[in-house]
Amino acid sequence: MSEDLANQEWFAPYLGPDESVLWQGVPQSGFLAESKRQREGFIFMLVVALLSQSVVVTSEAPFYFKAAVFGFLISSIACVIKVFWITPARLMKSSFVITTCRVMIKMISGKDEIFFFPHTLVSDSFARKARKGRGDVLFLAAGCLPIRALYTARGGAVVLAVPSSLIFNIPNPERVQEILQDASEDVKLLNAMRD
Amino acid sequence: MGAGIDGSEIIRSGETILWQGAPAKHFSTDAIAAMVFTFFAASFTLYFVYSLFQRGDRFGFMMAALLPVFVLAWVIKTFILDPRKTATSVYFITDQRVIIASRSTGLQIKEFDLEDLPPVKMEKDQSGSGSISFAMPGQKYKNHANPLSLYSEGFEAVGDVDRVFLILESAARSRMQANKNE
Repeated sequence: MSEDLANQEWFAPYLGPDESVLWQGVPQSGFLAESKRQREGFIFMLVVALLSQSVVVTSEAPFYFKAAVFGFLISSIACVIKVFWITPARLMKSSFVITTCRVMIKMISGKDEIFFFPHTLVSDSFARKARKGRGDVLFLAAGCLPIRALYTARGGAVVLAVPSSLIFNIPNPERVQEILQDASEDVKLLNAMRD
Repeated sequence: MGAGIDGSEIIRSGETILWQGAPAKHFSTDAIAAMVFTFFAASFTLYFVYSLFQRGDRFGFMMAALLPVFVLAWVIKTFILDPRKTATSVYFITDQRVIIASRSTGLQIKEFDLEDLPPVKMEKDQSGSGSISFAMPGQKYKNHANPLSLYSEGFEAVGDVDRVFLILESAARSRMQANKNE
């Protein structure tokens, strides 16, 4: 990326004196692989709520029971709208930057949310390929606790990640993972030499 | 300075304060959303309890009567306890540490060395104010559905959050450099 172009971007104010941009990208889709089970679960919940409502509404069940089932239906609809439309729309506005010093992830949820992960805190990363050449880059960051365990193809090693340390739905994830890994190793090597 | 917290009781000798601030006391969009939610939740629960009472449904009434108690507890937490904690908070960035102090129940201090700066999340609204939160090391991770719950400690509702972030970054860089030179 040229220096002029980088200066116009959202991350320009946060770049340090000797920091330069190695890669920048945006997601091609707002659906996370991690949320597949969640989406299936909420569809199932909606079906159960609709069936319950259709049975209860014509029955002689007490009023509070009918109200509870109706509340369940409303909650299910709200959850389905959230996981299928609101969250993907929000995630689509994300932006990722790998610099010589750190990873910056910008998300939008009413406000701008920017996550900063210095390379010194990034301990491991791997690429996960999905369909159409797209995929994710997951990385471990010190101080962040795992949200779930993911099994990689590399000998079944367990890699833990949180969505906030996830560069998702980008083209050519292997290349981006290499850039991240190289940058992270360079920083650590430099720090070791200084020590 | 929030809650009469004096920097002298927190700052060590030889330590320099680079920035200090307190949360701005204004209604955030979260608070407005909470008020709207409370209004509807309270209206619904009261109507629900009243309708059960009218029908003479004793069991239903007793069960539903718990709902206003939950709503009341939530209202007390959201509108009294949490704002009180925020209003008594003071934040410092020194040349050595980040300090978050509050005096809601006695003086509470959370701090960490700038050299061990954890991953940072910055939130910024249209006016440029916002918050800086830290993924606190060793923090108990309760909400697995929400990764943002990791970032629960930090500077809330501070003005010109970009400037505060740059001060933090610069202080962390200087601290690391100074430690390497020692």
